[in-house]
Amino acid sequence: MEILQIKNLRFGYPDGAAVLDGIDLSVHEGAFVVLAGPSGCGKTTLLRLIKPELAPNGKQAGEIRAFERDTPPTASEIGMVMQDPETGIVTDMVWHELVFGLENMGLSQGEIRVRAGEVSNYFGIQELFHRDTPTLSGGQKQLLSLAAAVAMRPRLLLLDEPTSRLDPLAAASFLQSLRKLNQETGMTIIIAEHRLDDVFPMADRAVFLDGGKVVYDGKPDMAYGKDLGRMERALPTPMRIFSALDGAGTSPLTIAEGRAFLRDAAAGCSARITRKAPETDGETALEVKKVWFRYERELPDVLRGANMQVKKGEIYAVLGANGSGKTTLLSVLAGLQKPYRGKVLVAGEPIGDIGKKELYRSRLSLLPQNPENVFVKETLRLDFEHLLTKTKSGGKGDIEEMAEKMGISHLLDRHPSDLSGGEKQKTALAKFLLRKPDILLLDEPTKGLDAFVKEELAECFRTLRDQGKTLVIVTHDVDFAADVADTCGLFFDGDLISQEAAGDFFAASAYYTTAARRMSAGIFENAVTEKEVITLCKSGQKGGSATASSQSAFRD
Amino acid sequence: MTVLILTMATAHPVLLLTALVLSILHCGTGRRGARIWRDCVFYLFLFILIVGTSPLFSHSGETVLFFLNGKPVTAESFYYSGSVAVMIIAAVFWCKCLGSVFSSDKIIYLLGRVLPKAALLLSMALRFVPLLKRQFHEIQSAQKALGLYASDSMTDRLTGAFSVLGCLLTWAFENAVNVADSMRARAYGGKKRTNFSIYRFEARDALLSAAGVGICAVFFVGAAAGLFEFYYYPVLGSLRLTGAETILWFAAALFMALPSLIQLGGTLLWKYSRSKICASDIPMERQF
Repeated sequence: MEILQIKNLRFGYPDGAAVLDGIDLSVHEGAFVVLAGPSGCGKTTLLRLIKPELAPNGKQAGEIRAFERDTPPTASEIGMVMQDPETGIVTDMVWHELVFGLENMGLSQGEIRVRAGEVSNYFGIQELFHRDTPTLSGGQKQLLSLAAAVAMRPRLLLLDEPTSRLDPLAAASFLQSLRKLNQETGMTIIIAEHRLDDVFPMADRAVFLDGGKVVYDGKPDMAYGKDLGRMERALPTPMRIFSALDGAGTSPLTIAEGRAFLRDAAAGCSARITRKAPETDGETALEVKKVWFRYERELPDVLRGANMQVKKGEIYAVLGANGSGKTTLLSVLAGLQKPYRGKVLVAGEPIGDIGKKELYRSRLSLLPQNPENVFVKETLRLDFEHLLTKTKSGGKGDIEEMAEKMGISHLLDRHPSDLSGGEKQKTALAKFLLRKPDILLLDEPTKGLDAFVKEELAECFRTLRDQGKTLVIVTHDVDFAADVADTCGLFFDGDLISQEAAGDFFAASAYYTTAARRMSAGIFENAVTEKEVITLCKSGQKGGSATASSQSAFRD
Repeated sequence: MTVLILTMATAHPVLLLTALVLSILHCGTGRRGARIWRDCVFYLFLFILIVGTSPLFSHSGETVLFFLNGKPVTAESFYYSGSVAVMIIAAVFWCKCLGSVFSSDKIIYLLGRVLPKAALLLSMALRFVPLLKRQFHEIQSAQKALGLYASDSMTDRLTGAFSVLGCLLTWAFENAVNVADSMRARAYGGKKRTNFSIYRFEARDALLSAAGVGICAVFFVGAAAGLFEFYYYPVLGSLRLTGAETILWFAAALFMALPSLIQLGGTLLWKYSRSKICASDIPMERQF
C-alpha cells in the first residue's frame, strides 16, 4: 500500500525563495526511508508539508496524498519527532507527556492508561514514568518524544534530525529503538538525517535532496559515486573508502562489512603511515595541576586531581562521554569555576592572580555549547559594536576585518536567531575573536552541524592555530578530533587518563576511536583517518611507499 | 486547608495546643520526618522571641507584673502572645505538611476536573521554569567569558542583567513557537480533550472527604453557636470545657490527627507486609 505519494511538489516561502522545486516521492507501507541533504536543502520543509498541522505558509503547487485518500490525514495518523529534544516536550512530568496526545484524541481514562503502559514497556522507559521531564538527559527526552508520538498509533512516523543534538551513544541507541519499531511493527518511517553512519545500515531506501530537488533515490548501499554534492562527505566511512578505491557493486555500510572489503583491498600495501610530529615551540599555554572540583559541598567530585598540559599554538581535544565532566573542566580552565584544590596556570601565571578584565580581554575566552547564548542584540553588527564599546577595545574597522576573515560579512545585518547552525557557530567564534584571546576554549563546537560545515569549521580552526592561537576543544565527535587536533586527551573519572599526539592516541585505542581506525585495526598499524587509509591502500596499488607528512595526510 | 482554617479560627488555648501537637506529629510522620527536631528547635526560638517581645508593646490586661519605661507589662498579654505564637507555629507546620504532600501532579489532578486548561498551563509552566533558569545561567556565563559585565559596578551589572533578559526573551519566544508546533503535531486543539490522571478517586477517598467535611461542619456550627469563646483581656477566661465543647474538641482533634493516623497505620501495615516478604541473603547493593 502507498502510504505517501508526492507528485511534482513545489514550495516557496512568502519572501520569494523557492525551497522545493518539483519533488516526486512515493513511499510504501513498512519502508524505512532516510532523507538526507545539507542544512537548508528543504528536508524540514518537506517533512512539515507532509504533516498538515505543521505545514508552513507559502506558495505551494503539486500534490501530496497520504494513505491513498483524498481527505487530509488526521494529526494522530502521522507522528512527528522534532530536532530539539527540549522543545519537543510540552509538560512537566513524563507520564503527562506520554498521555498528552491521547488526551487530545479524547480517549477514555482506561484506554489512555493501557496505551501509556504499553509504550512505556515497549521502549523500556517505565522507570522514568514518574520523573520530571527537565531532569531527563537529551537521549531520554528524544526517546520520550518518540514514545509519545507512537502512543497515538500513527501509520507514518516523521523524524526531523532527531539525533543531531545527541551524543553518539545516545544517538545510536535512539536509532536502534527506531529500527526495532520498523522491523517489529512494520511502522513506516521517514527520517531526515545528516549523520549517516548509523542510520544507513538500517534503512532500506535513501533519498538525497539538494537545491530543492531529489538528486538520489534508491538503495543506501548504491549511493556512492553519484553526484551528491556536499552530501558526499556525510556518507558512512566504509562507503567513502570503498568509493575512493573505485570499488564496484554494493558498497559496505557497517564497519564489519568495511573490514572484509579492506582486507582484500589492502593486500600488498604497506601497513604503516609516517606522520611528521607537529611543531610547537614547547612553551606551555595552559596548565592544570592536580585540580579537584565539586559544585557543592555535598555533591561528588567532578574533577579528581586532574592534570593537563596544553602547548602554545596547538589544537588540543578533550574527548570523553557525556556527563563525564568535560564541560566542567572547561569552565574551571576559563576561571568561571574555582577548584577547591590544585592550580590552573595561564602561561605560567595562576589564573586567580590575573584580574577578570585582563583575563578575558586578551588571555582566554570560552565559547559555550549553544552559540545562540552569545548574542544579546538585534543584529550581529550591533552586537559586535556593543561588545567593543563596552570593553573599549577596537572600532568598527575591526568588525569589518574580522567578518572578512571569517567569511561572515554577508551575515552582519541579520538577526542572530535567523542564522543556521553552522553560521551561528562561526559568528559566535568571530565575536570571541574580536577580544583577541591567545587561548580559545570551545565546548562541543560541532554539535548539530552537518559534515560539510564541520569541515569548514575544521579549516577555520587550523587557520587560527597557524596564526598562533591555542585552541582547547571539548568534544565527543571522535572523527572531528582526529581530523583537527594535534594532541588528544581522554577524560574519564575526573582526570585526563591519556594525553598523546592525535595520531598515536587514536591508533592506540580499539573501541573509542575513529571509524577509519576501527575499520583498519589489525590491517594497518596506525592509520586513523579516512585519508590515511586511502593513502595506504593506494600506495599498494602503485607499489610505492607510504610517507605522508602530517600536513598532507592529516589536513589534505 | 480546612485544618488551617480550623487552627486560625479559634483562640481557645486547648484547641491551639492540640493543633500544634498534631501538626508537629504529622510533619514528623511525613516524608521529612528526620528533620523535625531541627525544625522544633528553630520554632522554639521563634516562640520565645514572640512571647518575649510582644508584651512590651501591648499593655492591656489587669494583672500587672512590672513596669518598663513607665508602661505596665501584664500577665494577660504574655498569655495572649503565647497563644498567638502557638497559632502561627501550628499554621507553619500545617503549611509544611501541605507543601510536602501536595506535589504539582496532585494539584493538576484536582484542578484538571474543574479547570482543565489551567491545569495544563500549570504543567507547562512547571516544565518551563527550570529551563528558563538554566538558560539564564548559560547566557550569563557566556557574557562573562567575553569579559562583559564582569566588573563590580552596580550600573554595569544592571545593564548586563537587562541585556541577558532581552536575549532570554528571544529564546523564550522561539521556544514557545516550537512547543506550540509540538502540541499541534499531537492533535492539540482538535476534538474535546479528556483529562487523564495517574491517581484514581476510590471509595475510601470519598469516605474520607465526607468525614472531613462532616466534622468541619459540626465544628463551625458549634463555633457559630458561641462555643469555644475565650477572652484574654481584661482577665483570662476559664479554661474549663463544657460538655458540648469537649465533644467538639474531640471531633476537631480527631480530624487533625486523621492524616497522621493514616500515615502511621500505613507505615505499620507496610512494616507488617514487608515482614512477610522473604529476606534476601544478598545485600541490596550487590543485587544489581
